[in-house]
Amino acid sequence: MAETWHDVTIRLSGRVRFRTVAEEGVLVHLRRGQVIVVSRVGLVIVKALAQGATSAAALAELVAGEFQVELGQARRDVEAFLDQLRAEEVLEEINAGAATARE
Amino acid sequence: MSLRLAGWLIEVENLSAGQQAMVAAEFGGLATTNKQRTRQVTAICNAARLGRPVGMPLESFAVNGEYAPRVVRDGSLVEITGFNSVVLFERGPRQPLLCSLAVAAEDELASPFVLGTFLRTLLAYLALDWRGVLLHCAGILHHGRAYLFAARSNVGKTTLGRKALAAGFSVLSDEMNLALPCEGGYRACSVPFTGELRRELQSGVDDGCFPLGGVVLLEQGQPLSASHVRPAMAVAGLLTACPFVNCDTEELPALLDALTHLVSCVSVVRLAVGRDDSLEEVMGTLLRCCEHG
Repeated sequence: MAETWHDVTIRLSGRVRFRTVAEEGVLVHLRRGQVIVVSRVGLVIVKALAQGATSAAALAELVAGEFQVELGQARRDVEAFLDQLRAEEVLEEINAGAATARE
Repeated sequence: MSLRLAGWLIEVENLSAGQQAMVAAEFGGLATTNKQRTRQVTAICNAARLGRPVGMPLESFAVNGEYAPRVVRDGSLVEITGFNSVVLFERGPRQPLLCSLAVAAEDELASPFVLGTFLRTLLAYLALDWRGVLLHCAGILHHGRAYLFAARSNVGKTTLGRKALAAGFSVLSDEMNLALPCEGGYRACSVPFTGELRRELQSGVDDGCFPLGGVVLLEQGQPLSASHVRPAMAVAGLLTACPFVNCDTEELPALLDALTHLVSCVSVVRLAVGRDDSLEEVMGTLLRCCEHG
């Protein structure tokens, strides 16, 4: 069976540092020098990604619980946010025990 | 030989007689005599010689049109290789900060490019040690308070500085200034480096520190407008305006700490300014925004 987006295990790239500023987050990509600001919701996701490998499905459940939103909506929001993070090359996907840096 | 910058004392050792004369000629305004050495030495710099030139073209040090020496970190040692010099810093809690500046040819050391860049870099690291930042910005004094207009090259720092001087305001520097924490807030301190306003600022504010009234992320635009910047956006915007240390990944935590504290204490405003806006209009717009923060 094909792997769907929410089955992929992901984590924050080792080349990224982040800092909580007020209620938002500042991410710095060390190699690219890119600086990204994320919202309060984004910060919750980034913190979870920084704590260890997780999945989009787990992140959606986390967001739904934390912000009292319907799970379907949380899934859509998380997916959109992860797409943005992938585009900024700040995520690593982990397949069969091996980390694949998307950079 | 001792140099005094922004109240910090830098002892430069092992200069040859020729280099001492050249430093005195190029940076004589910074030299301090033994009688004036009332402060503790902040940094000790060893003048050294490279066995051979660095040997890389100047273009290889350009990033986005700006000169960007290469920073390599090995534990507490920072090696910064420039076009014709190599700088070493030993980072850590020990005071004074120990460093070296090495060039291949004796007469290269005192050039404004080599020694000037070295001193700017040193200031950026020293500022972090004081939990402050060296910012690419124009500093303008208004009723005893300093306002720092941070921007990349060619956005309008020097133009704003010129307008300020023409309008009778004092300008700290049109290139870079320090923002350092102090009791009750922050102070802006001038550094002896300027952009295009070098001649105009030679008799201006000398080595002064002033209460910091606000920090501006300067943009070109019309109409003249100002808006408060959220703390995270302010940190992101100012990160790019912190030369030298913002490309040293080991210093990033300290830099983020310093900026996070700065934006929590001082208003940060995004200001769009057009070519024809007068300094009075610019400051009026800025101050109204700061007051309503």
